[in-house]
Amino acid sequence: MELNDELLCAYLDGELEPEIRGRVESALETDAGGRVRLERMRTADQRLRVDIPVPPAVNDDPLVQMILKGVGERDAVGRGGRVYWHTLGSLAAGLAGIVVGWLLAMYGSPPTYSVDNRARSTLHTVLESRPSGSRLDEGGESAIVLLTISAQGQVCRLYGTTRAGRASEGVACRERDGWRIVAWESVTTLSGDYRAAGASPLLDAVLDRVGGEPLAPADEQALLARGWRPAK
Amino acid sequence: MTLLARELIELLPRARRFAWVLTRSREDAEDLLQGAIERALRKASSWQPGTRLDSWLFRIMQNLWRDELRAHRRRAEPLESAAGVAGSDGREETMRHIQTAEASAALAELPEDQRAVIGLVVIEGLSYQQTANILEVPIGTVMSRLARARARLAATLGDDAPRVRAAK
Repeated sequence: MELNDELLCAYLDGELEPEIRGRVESALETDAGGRVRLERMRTADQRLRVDIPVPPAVNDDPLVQMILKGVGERDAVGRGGRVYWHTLGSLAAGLAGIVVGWLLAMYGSPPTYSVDNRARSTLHTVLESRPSGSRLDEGGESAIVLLTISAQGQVCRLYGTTRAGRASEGVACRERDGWRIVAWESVTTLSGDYRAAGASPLLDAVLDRVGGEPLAPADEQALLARGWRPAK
Repeated sequence: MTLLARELIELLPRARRFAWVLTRSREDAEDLLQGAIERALRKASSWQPGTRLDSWLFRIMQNLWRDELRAHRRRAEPLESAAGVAGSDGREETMRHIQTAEASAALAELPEDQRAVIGLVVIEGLSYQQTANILEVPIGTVMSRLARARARLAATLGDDAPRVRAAK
């Protein structure tokens, strides 16, 4: 078998059928030049990946706001607008007892908060100190805040987390002693990508009940700087 | 919040990197990414949940960049140095993290079509079929472009440099 560059590339990228892959490997055993070319390609690939990593999320990324605004407008048209029923107080009392209880019964404890539903570690850091669109990766866990809403003087944030190949999304609300998760939902991952089977009616319903609209970056930044206390 | 919005926000860092690979300029990359997001939002109904959003967005980016190149008959400016990135907002911070080292310079030397293939297959890890769909070319074209690009890159980057050994 002649080991041309196209064949070596396909071998390197895992694009060959098992039978052809086996023939390539047999040929490589006797083709020193092919082995050298293959290793040089592999080295070049590695150097590209090291030198051009995925950049970190941008704080106050205007594109995040564009996405939230653009998709939100279409949501409003498509769903006939949101209905805000109750205050956040009733949300915390009702959903914390019912929704979380139901979810815990279905899925078990999510990986990023303790049994009393207080956010901790990576997720807590992101919720407490990062603007929407910011992502934090540490200790094999990543968390990102997707949006912040404020209504009735209280603040809730929609977030996503991934850990050990498992992903979840949830809504956490700020209380005096930290962030309490009022709802979360497990999502599936595919090939390491963040991917869900569908939109989350549950979390959308929770956000609807919280009320308000996603905060603009400046408003969110001001709230964050005040330690999440409402303006006097 | 819809699934599309969530996944677009998650995808932004990778999309920003792909935009930079295509354009090799921070300003052009931001313009391209913004244009792609705008178009994605306008065409939101054409994306099917459960399918790969990255392929869908990368295809939009590739088409926009191809249109831009055709319209202005230009090539991107020479590769910018990270040290030359200045300003006050977060985008520069992001671009500082894209190391414009020897490997980036080698990437910049590739023709546009080969660089796009390298960006999608080697850097983004997409399959040949996904890459062919994004670039709207036969899979054989993807393979030949990839082979030519890799041969060139291997010639300049194929030596096991000390920095790479340290990264292993």
